[in-house]
Amino acid sequence: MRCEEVRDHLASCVDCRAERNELDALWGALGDLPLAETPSSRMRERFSAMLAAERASTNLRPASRGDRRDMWTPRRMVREPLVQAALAASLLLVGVLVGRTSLGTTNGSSQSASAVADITEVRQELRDMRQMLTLSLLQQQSATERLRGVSWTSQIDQPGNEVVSALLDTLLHDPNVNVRLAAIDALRRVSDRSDVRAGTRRVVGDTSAPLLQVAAIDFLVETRDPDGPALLRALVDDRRTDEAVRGRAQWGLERLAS
Amino acid sequence: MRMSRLLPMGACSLLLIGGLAYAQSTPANQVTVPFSDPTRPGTVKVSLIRGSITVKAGTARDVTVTTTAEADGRGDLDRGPRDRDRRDDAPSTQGMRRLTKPAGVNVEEENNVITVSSDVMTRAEVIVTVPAATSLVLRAVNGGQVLVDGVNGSIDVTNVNGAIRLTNVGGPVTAHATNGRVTATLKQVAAGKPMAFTSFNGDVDVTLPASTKANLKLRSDRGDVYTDFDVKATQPPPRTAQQDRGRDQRERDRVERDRDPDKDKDKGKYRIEVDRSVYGTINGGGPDFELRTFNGDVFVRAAK
Repeated sequence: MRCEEVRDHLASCVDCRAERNELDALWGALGDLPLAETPSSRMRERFSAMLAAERASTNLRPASRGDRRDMWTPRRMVREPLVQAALAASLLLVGVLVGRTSLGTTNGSSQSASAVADITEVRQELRDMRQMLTLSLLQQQSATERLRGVSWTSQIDQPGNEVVSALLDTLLHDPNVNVRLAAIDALRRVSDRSDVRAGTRRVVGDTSAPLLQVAAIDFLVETRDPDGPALLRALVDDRRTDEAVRGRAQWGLERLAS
Repeated sequence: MRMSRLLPMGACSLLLIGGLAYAQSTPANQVTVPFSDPTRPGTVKVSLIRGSITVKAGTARDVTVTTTAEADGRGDLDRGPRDRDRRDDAPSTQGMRRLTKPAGVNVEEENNVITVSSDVMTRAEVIVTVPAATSLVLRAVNGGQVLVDGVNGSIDVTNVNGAIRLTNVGGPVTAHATNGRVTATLKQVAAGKPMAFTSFNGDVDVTLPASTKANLKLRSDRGDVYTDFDVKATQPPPRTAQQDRGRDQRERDRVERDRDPDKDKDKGKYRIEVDRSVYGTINGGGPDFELRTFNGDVFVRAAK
């Protein structure tokens, strides 16, 4: 597989080009993940001590399943530099595989079904990795990175449970209004889920962020939430609610009634 | 004063000295705080319940915090006793103890994060000078603007009852003012980073470098959206749409560009009328930028 061939192919094939752009984005995201801090000598000592203690104890009993699960949640995993490196390496492999298989399929129509299966598998891996990166971004300190995590979710075809609950968590608890606003918007495409609806209903009453309240009112109206009229009525009647928010709630009530 | 009579003389005179020092009001205080690791860009967090925040980029590697704090604790409308202190005919406070808390602005450094905070009773004007690459997390609630000039690190600003004004900044920004205008001029845009500028009661006015690549999401519920960028309208992202509000709503969502050359020639702008969000790309698209307000107009300007 020569360089020009790949380049030529990329120039002509929309799918592969899109795939490549996505890979580029993933690479960028991997590179931007903050590095773990350089361990101090004290930390190293503590680690040695911990290791020794751990060794002593594992001689006595094997690590319980619970322990292991605790250590290897995907969110924690992506923060490990080693895992990040491994991710990067496997990504390279995925890239090569994608390049090869998609080149292969265009070369001849007599490709075996296994090639198709390969592609499916590779796509699945890509999707899993993207989910993992998204989850890791949503946990970042910086609001910009969390915002990026939220906008990444829109690139996941069918966001899994973990991504949706991370988005819900962001909507309800993120300290930044803009990140929450982006989250409610991202959740609009999974608004048929009952947990998403329940989460949005909770935001409607959050008087600390009127802009978010308005977005939640829109969400209720858009999804024709059966509890919508009652919630909006309560907002309209509550004197503590911002004047403009009450106006929007009134508008929502009229829309839902029609 | 019954208590002080019970106190031994020594303690009494100490209190007196303290009281005198205090009576000399609250001059501007300045502290210089170094980052523990100046080779890495640090973070400055400022949280004020009452007061204004100004952050400027400086050339020093340290952070300088200048504060004017007034521990009046009685709100802006009832400043009588404090003003009295400054007048010549003010009643003497000599020999009396002040029972209100000392003016409190705390500055702490930990792990390359400098935190400036005030207690609820204190009204403070805080001016911070930082290295240009510093990241900022700024929170204000009452009684002041938040101003940032020349900072290139990431900027995260929230102001409840006041404006946000960012000039000459270069980092990714997220800014939200509940009751105030958000104005931002970016001299450069961090590649691939999403941004958000939002207000509830106020205009959102953002100036970007003309070559900025972004996917814009623009919305004003009660106002209009203006730009002089060449915005290519795009479809809103897919969602589990309700059938009954499908096409009709989308038609209304569509951008109406009023390119009347006579009317807007002098401004070089065209007007986008919105019912709901406007989605579009500039310079071929890029990260998501959200500009949104409820009561106000949205402006996206290309820097000249």
